[in-house]
Amino acid sequence: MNEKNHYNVMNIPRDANQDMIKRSYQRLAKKYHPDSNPFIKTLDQFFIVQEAYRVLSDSNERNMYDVSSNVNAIEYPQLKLNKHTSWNVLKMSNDPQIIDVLLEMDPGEVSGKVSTKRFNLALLVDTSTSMAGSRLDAVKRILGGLLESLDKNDVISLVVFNDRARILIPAKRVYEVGDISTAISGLEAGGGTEMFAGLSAGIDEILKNKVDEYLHQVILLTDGHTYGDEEKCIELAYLAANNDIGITTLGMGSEWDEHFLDKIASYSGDTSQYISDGEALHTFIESKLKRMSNHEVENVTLENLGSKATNLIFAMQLSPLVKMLDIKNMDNLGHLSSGDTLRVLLEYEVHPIKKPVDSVLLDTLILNAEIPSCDIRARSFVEEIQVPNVDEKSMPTLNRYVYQYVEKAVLFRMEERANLDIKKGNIANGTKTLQNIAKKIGEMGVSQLSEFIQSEALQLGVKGKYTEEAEKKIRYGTRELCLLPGKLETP
Amino acid sequence: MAICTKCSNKEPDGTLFCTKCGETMVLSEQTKVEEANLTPSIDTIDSSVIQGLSKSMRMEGEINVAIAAKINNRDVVIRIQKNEYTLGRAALGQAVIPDFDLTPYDGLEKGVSRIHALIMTTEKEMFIRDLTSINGTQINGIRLSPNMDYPIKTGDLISFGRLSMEIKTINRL
Repeated sequence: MNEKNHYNVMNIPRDANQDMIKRSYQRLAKKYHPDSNPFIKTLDQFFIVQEAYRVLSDSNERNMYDVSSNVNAIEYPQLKLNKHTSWNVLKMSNDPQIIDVLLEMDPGEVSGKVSTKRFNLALLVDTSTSMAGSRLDAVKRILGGLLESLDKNDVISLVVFNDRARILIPAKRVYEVGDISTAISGLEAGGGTEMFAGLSAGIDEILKNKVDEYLHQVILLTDGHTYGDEEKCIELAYLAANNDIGITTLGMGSEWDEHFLDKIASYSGDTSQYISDGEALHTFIESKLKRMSNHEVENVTLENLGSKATNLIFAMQLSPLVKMLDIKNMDNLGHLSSGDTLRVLLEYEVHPIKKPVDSVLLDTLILNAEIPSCDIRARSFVEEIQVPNVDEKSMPTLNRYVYQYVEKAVLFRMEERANLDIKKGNIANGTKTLQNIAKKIGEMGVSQLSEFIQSEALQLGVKGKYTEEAEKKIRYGTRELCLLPGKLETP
Repeated sequence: MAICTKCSNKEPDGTLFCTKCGETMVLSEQTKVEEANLTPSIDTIDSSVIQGLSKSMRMEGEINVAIAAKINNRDVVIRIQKNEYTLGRAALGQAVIPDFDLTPYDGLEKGVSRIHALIMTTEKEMFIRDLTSINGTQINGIRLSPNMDYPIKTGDLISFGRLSMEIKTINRL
């Protein structure tokens, strides 16, 4: 079947109903119309979407299309989705109660099936004064390494920025790059960090080769704060993600703002990464490229429709990335490479159950994903989460499998709170929370991180502050801990 | 309504952990200990969990041992003051860093894993355990089965991947 079939153009599964088709059309029309998307210059793609919509929205035409292109006969593997709740039943009660839901999805039947795409990369390097010395040297080495590990037909560009952006290597195929030493020799640290200029120059280089056959990715490496253009950067990152350009943000040293870098990466379903030195950078980029060329499932999105009986109070992704999810707009959960499991934790407050009922609807979830190796890529699940209700005499049973993941999420939240307290100057609370985190991590058996946090908590108690380096180490250490699979196996 | 046993904070029913201090609201001390002794799967990123695993096997009494060794042809004294001492490659941002960092001895180039092996010291002997490293650990040319303890003594030639370490002397201080 043609890769550009109407279902793929509309990004819908083959059993999509009219409502889904319509919603998808509205979204895509916006995405591909030059009036509403500054990255789009022509109406070509818009017309393709329009034609697909015309066919699929008319049931006669759709039937004819399905028969002629054999839609129902193609291989159509499914993904595996599991949901677990922290309690097996809900209690009758005049008070609200809390229940956690763990959602897990793995590639199931498509595991091992990947579709390889060429890379269209823009490497964006901050060369402000703070990047001077060994860090810049590390960057030089990385470039060389990067060029070696890419295929000769991949596209790469190199943009450096401080107060303004300079394009050292304009977008070209790897085999055309030639000797990089001349280009890189001009790499010298100086000036301040103005990220917007760099980001837009990098995206411009990507746009030169903006065709579907490529995987578009900006890799941004910085070590400092950008001043005054955060909002503009965030807007641009959002726009880029909507145009299928991913942004990976890497922070070196300690003076960068992880919330800002996380935000920029989040639109394309990524998080920021803490890079300690040249070697860590090398390892990270290599594994990142490998993961990217190894996607079994892409663009996983989650939407919750809510329920009258509950409020969603907390949502967090635990794998393959660790990040808090916005409960109003969870959206992009990224991609799954070989061996990955998607793991999302949702916490609900259930309103008082005063009258006996058979079961309570916690939420209705819509999970969308794409399987790049399939002729029709899109998959969509609608999942209702129901929990039975019992009378006051029976006791709910705890699900230990869910418990262990809630514990990880608790650590992450405690770390966020400690950080916030310390930044606000509430040292006593911050110290106490850090000590509790250290104790919990110790109980989980990770003694080194636990000891490190313990000693930082002590420092904090004495000096009233801790170094930014320690802050990053604690933060990203805790994140990594969240990523570890639980000790208990699936029930 | 449930009340945290540690900080008396009030939480709605069904809450698993106190939102104030992080203490469990549903498990007793007893179950927590049982939990800690569960066998974890080792093939995780860096298995930090290992340290918790053998907590129960830990010996009483102080440990203070100095191993004089030649690592990659350089003289080194490794001071061991704990029952279990890990070797590997350290990098910032790693959840668990090894007690002894082999990076300066070309650990990366020679195929040393991040948490490669563990030296276990008891009252009488010393053992080495390969922590399912990628390139394995050898004593005098014999590859060790992962997660098994092998005795080590003066004169042994140990390899972590392709990085060699010759034990000159072992002294208890």
